[in-house]
Amino acid sequence: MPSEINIPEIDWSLIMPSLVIVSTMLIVLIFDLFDAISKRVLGLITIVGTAIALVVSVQLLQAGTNETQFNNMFRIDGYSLFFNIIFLISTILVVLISLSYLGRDDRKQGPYYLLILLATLGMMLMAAGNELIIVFLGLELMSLSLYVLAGYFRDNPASSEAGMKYLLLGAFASAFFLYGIALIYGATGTTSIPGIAENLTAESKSPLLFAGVFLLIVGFGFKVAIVPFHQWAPDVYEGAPTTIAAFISAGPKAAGFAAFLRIFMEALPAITPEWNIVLVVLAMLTMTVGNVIAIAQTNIKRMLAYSSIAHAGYVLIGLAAANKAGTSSAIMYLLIYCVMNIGAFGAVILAKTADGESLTISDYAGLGFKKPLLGMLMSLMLLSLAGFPPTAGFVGKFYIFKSAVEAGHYWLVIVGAINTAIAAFYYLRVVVTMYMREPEDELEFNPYPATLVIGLVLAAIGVLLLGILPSLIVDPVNAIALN
Amino acid sequence: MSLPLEYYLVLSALLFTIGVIGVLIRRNAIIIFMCIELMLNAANLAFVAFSRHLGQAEGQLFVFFVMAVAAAEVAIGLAIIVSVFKHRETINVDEVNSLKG
Repeated sequence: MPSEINIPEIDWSLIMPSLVIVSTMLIVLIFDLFDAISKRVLGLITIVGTAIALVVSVQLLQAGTNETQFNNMFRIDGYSLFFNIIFLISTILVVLISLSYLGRDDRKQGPYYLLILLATLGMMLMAAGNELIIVFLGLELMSLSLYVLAGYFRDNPASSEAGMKYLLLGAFASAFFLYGIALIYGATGTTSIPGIAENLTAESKSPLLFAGVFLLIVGFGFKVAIVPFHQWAPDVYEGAPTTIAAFISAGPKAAGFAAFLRIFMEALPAITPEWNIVLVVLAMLTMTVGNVIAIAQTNIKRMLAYSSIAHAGYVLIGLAAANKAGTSSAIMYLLIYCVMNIGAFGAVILAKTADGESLTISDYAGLGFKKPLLGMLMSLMLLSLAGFPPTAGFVGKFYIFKSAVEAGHYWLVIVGAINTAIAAFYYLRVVVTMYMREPEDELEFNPYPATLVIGLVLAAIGVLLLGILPSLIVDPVNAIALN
Repeated sequence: MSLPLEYYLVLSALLFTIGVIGVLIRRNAIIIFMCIELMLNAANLAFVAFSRHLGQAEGQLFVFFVMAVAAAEVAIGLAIIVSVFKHRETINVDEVNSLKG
């Protein structure tokens, strides 16, 4: 009769990135209590805390860490650390574009940054989860924070509505995800990711397992907005505060794919042929539907929402390739996508007029010459999203398609290439509107806020740097990709 | 006398299906939310049944986490639904449809 309890030894240095985020959260919470402290400081604290966590993650990554913590529940390897870097970079950029978006003395700033940090922590848990419980808890921590953030502007009916839609569909998806875990647990007798791979022998390939994997795909499909589970995305992006739309489109999508990749590549390699074909079909559907519907949009936030759905399709190509090149290209694409998409949303915020944001694409007419900086940044981000060289978007798409060719999915590459052409049409339409059309009426634009410009310039540097020197990212990603 | 595992699984699958159908056909946000809770509890039942069948504690442990998460979800969900009600005086999801295109 074992009566002693083994308390696992905790190596605090390994979980330092998460700890830094938690401490930053507590500091924000405490500082928010004092009225004497300007609320503006809270955003700066968030940036500093996130930057420290970023530095710690980079150091751990360079040290080649590959360990588990908490009885193998938490895995700190190159994969989770690299995803940490993606999440933390997205968070820093989002906070930079948020600083001016929220009013200077807005009392609601404290909870806003707190929730952003909580969501970031959830994402880090998802990438590090070596156990389905941790993945589920990370997913919920992230999702619950995002529901509140989407409905954060309570006085705005559209924001509340976005919050409710996101909540109902997100919770629905979580239930599918959970039931999938339950069935996989029943079929394999464990919820540990390496454990599932071990127990998955020929005779345990039961209908129960396939039903579980199917439900898992449905759950992830909702979270990362894959067609046919994408309907929530345009409504939520349109109604949510623009900064939060940028946040939801970047980090959480990367986190969803992080867990998706980890579970399917590490726990379910034994049934790769079965899930592979499903992902191929979903990738084709997602790219095509996302891009085709994006053409018809007149609201720029909705257009970016459909474009982000299409980008989830490109990442799925990497997953469907199901080899090392596929994983590494998907991870690289996610990093590039996060930076350029936050940049595009940031440019939308930059085009703020006295009476609110200009969200209709025709509002951008003539902006290119009237507001050169805005026009340049917006064009750069859109060209990168469209995948033109020498931007990072081109590098990302190139490696994704290369991995699919290596895996022999030629049809997927053909559909992807056609989609890139369709996508170029609606991205370029905005650029053309900005530079070649005369404005219909004179819009009074607000002066540029410094922090927003800093965030956008950082994103622009990132997009150009990775586009011109892809080796900066290709080599590290190849070193950490799952096999 | 103990019932075989299948009985529990069938019950759990039924509850889950009722939940899914409820989410798809009911239009009141609160009822939809209750149906989602039903789906979560169906998963809990499956966890406990498997856990008992396999003779492990893992599945039951999972249920505790799920219950905590579900409680948090209800707190946030009801708050968001109340804030929508304040604007529209309705929580019928067909009438809350200003966002579309």
